[in-house]
Amino acid sequence: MFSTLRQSMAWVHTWFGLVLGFLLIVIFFFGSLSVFDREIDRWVLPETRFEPQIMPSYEGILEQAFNHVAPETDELAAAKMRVEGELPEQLQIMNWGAYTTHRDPTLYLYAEYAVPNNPNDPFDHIHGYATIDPRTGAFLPKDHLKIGSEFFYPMHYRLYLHWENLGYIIVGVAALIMLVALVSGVIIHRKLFREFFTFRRHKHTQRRVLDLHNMTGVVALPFHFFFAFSGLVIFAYIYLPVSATVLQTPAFAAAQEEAKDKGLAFAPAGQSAAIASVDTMVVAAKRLWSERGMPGDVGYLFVNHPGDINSYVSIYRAGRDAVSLVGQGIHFNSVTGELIYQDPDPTAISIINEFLTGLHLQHFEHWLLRWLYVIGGLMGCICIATGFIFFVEKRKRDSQQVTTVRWVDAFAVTSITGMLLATMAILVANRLLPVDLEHKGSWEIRAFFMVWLLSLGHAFWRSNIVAQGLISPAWREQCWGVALLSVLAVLLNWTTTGDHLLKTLFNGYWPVASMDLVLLTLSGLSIKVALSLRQREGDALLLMEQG
Amino acid sequence: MSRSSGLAPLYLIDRIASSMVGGYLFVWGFTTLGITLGVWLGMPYLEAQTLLYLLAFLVYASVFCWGFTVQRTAVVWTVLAGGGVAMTLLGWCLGRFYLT
Amino acid sequence: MNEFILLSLTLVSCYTGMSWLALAMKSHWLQLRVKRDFTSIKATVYRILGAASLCGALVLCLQVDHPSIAFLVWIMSMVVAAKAVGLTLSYRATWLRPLAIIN
Repeated sequence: MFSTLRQSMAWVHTWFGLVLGFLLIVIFFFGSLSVFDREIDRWVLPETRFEPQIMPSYEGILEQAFNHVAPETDELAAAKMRVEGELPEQLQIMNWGAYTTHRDPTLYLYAEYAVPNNPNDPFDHIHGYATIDPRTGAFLPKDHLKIGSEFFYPMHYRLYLHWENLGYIIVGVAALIMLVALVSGVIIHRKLFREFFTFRRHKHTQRRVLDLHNMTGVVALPFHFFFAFSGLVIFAYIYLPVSATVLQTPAFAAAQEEAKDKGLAFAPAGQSAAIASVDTMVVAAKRLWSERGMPGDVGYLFVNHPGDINSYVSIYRAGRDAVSLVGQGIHFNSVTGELIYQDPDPTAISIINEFLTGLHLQHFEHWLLRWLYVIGGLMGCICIATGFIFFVEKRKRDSQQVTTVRWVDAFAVTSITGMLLATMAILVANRLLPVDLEHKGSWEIRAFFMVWLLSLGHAFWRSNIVAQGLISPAWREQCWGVALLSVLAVLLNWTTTGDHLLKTLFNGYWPVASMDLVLLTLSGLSIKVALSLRQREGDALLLMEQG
Repeated sequence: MSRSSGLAPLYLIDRIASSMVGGYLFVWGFTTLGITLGVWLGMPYLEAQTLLYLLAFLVYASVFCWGFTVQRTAVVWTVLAGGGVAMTLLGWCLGRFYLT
Repeated sequence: MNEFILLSLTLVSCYTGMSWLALAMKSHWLQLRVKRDFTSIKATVYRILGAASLCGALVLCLQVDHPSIAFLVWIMSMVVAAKAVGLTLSYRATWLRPLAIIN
């Protein structure tokens, strides 16, 4: 196809980078926001603005809460369609669990319910979810969407697409192509080290933009590579489901062997038995961790087949002091409270895997590292954005590529300023919509996508002058939109919650204070960019008139 | 740079597919065979799976780039897709008849 | 507080380390407008200084956190520092003159 490796890699980098870049910038941006997803949750749910809590008592709070969790109505409806006959009034509980980190004031609960009579799947099950205040056991209304952890975060790893695993797969393909883009980028960038620090700001647009693209790409190369790679490893079981398909037989056999070896019963016995004191088991688990030289709090508590004689309780440690995730699980017999099994020390392969997945999923407690991650993620966004801009600038005056250039520019606007507009819009909607509005979360999400769609329309409408070698005014106009909406969000936080910036700074309530500060910074930056764009638009016009 | 405007759409689709789809099939086979070989050599199943998942995506990036350096896509298809299918079959046989 | 100081020093150490690595390159040395020649000996010395400063940053990181976290803090600090140095060289190159200690 091409005469040299470099030529072929350049083609791959340009075209795959361009097409997948639109997806990747969304993944990078919402990934960056997700680093502080729980802090964003605090901003959008003022009723949760209290200090993080540890895992509460099972007997006192959790047991009652679990019993009040119910199957999700949409999953129940779907299950009714795939079973033979009627579903029982009360579905048999398969397991339930509670999960918390050092950043969570509220506690996340889930339950899995067995769905009987499915001819295709004997282990069919549906889920129930809830969020509670761990201090009182009170349930948070389902309509109160956690925009950070339940919208921005799923946007990051599955583009908020629900149907089958389509969202996961699209993100997976984008991540794979990103690895390819990084490798090909390194191959084509001859002066990798010589131009490591180079940003010739005063040169013409193409040189300046390419310098910035190269710098943000190369300087953060370890970050970009390891995040794409670890992201793929995390969902490898979705991308390469060999154990569920081709290797189903040996995988299932191995799982049963393992359960037998550990003494953890796979299936319920069908005989009921009361659960012993889980709080006592938690105390025992903490003691065992201390004895192993790793004292800690409970991160994840899981009960398999509660109420059955085969039931067991698994208690996992919160991994806030190291990169690995909840680990060092300890498993107890639910009925007798006896210790059945302690997870052994990890093997070399496990350690590598835990390190990779842990560096991506970030359960550790380290504020500096989180902020450095955000900067890295934003550098990735700048790398992709400058890639788009370079692509357009290079081809702007080529009369043969007018349509391509116009489309790319419009999509670039949508995926950069448009995406920012949509993000601001959901925050504003969150503050404006009434607290008790039914399906409030759904309305907030609608606002997000509507504004994004409008920004696409606006970008297309204003991009026709790109064909003449000029800068589309959509960039500047949307920058002004971002500037205005971000300030509006800060003001609305003040008027609707009373937690204005001076108050949160004085009280040291960092989740909300930081959010307001970031929004104000964003506003300032957007204004600066808008003003500079007006200058550049004028210059481009002058150049065109002269040329 | 490249003469991308002169490349026929069908050729492009073939070229892209051979690396993307061929690469995926190759990695699928690599993972399947790798896991079964690992178990056969004494590794616990989940260990073997974890190891292969760590390797799989590096292999994909490599074979993908390799594909674009090869002149004829037929070669890419044969090696990647063909190799992938062969490895999958081998791994499936190993898993079905020797490991259980 | 101790943690805060050590991590701040880490960032400073990464910044100076990256600056010295930049100064080891002629194009960036010239940006500083230090009225001295650029020689290959100076380049080598700056590379050594830079590497030492970056290693020092790792040592500082290890004083604060578990090694697995320290390693990540170190890598990311170097990434952000390199970017900061690139921007400094572009916008205010002469600010790096105090670091041109070998001339």
